[in-house]
Amino acid sequence: MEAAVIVTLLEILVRRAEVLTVVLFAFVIAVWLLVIASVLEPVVWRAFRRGPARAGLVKLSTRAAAVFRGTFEHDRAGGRVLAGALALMSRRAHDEELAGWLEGQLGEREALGAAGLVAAGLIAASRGQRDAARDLMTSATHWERAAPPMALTIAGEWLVADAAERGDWPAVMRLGVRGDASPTARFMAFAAARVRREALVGEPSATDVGLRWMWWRSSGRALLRPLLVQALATPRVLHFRKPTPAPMAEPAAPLLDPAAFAGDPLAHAQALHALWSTTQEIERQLTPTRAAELCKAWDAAFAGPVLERLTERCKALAVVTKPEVAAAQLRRTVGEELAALAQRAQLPLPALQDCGGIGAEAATLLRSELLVGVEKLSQALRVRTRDKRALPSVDEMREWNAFKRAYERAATLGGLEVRRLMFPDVHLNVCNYAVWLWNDRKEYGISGPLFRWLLAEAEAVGDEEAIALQRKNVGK
Amino acid sequence: MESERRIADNPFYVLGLRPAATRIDVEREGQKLLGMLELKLKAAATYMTPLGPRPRSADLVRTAMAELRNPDKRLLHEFWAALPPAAEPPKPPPAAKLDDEVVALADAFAAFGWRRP
Repeated sequence: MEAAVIVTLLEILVRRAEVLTVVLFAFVIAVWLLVIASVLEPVVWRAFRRGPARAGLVKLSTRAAAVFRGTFEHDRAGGRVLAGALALMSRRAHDEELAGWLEGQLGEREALGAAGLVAAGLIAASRGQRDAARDLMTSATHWERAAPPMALTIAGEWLVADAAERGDWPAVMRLGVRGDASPTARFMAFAAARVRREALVGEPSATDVGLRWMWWRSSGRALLRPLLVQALATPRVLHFRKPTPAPMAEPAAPLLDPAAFAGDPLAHAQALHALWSTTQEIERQLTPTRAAELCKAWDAAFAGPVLERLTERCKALAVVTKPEVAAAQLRRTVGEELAALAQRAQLPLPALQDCGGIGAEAATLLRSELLVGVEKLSQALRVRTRDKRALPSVDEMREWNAFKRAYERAATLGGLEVRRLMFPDVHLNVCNYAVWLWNDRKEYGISGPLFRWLLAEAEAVGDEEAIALQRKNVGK
Repeated sequence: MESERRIADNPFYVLGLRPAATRIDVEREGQKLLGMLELKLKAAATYMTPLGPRPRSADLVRTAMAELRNPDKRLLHEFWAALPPAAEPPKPPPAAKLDDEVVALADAFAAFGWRRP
């Protein structure tokens, strides 16, 4: 009897040992598969980008991206949409139906992650909304919370491509040496530095072999070959010296000779006005000197025969308007048009103010226009925060970016004076908005950078109270 | 752009007249142009402005005539027509010299496998 019990017990033990062995074996296999997967995942991702994503298979890419769990750690759902957005950008033409489908996938999620933000940027780019895409990608590169490195790499790639296409090589050189830059972005940065004979931040000048190696690792090698050839043809600069200051510029000859207008200053002013009104790349051409030339021409026209001519014509036409009133109306129209030209040319407000006369009047109009524009947006933000009217995360980001762009444009044109005037109202409304996003919406990825931006602005304008508050908000 | 439109659509240029033209000149020229446009004559299809030639339409001619019938509006249009029309658009001013030696890379997006936005 006892022997039988012992045998049974032994049998049970053996069976348990078998089960334990099977469990242990399965565990080892699972760990092994995980190790293999983590080693292979980057390789599979690369193949995926060159395969379904490059082929523009949006839905397949979105679904297949579920396997890249490690690549999109911290924002897996956003990563899936990002994979689809990459495919959308690779299609020959934009497909609004697919873009809407991808946005729907993003909208299903609560708070926005970095990968989702980059995906939204790519969708905007695919729609041709380049400024919006640039803002979203820039926001992604400044993401403060944990973010999938691949999402940041893709954002960097897009920004590098955008800057290179616009010829903004300093931006390429800055973005291409970031820690998360892809081999293609790095090659562009090093090649541009070599051709421009400029130093990269924290990086040595590339050797010929180094440049070839970077080029070989890049995607789109055939398209980048001309850049490689140009870079290799430029001698390598090993020691960067402070450049010698350029000689004093000669005063520029007038664009249109006033003498050619047979003593008619009004015709001269209008000829210059017509010239600048039709200039396409005015921001590259209307310099402060040229703006002063235009303003002086108008001042000469208004100082000269305008009032006399108007008085004479008022009599001849028997009009009700007094010549002085008509002259003031015309002067205001000219001032408004000069302000619009200055805005298009991104001419700083002080440059226009320094022109004096009608230039100073145009500067006043432009200043008021800039302030009113930002105030309107700031009030819209205030009302939305007060009414707790929430937008989807990506649209919140877009609206904030549009506001920031308007503010920064006004600050660039208006200088510190305009910045100081705008800040108190902006600080109040943006701070309340960011607090709402943080406390009620848990949109930490969006509101965190808002507090930092407010702190930077408060420090720039020297608002002590705002500095103290925003330091608390950012935890400094 | 507003300033470009103000110059290009000036009624005096549309009718091919100078600011010294009388009311009778305006009516006569307007009617003549409307007739020519009705017959689709090539000579009336475009008009000259300081910004170069522009296409002329019957609507544009009618609007120009209406604007010049109003003395207050005519006064302002006379001001903006001080410059005689030119046969060619003004030459763009020389661009400020850039220190960049690398020109813009037109295929930058394609290098990453993307379509140009």
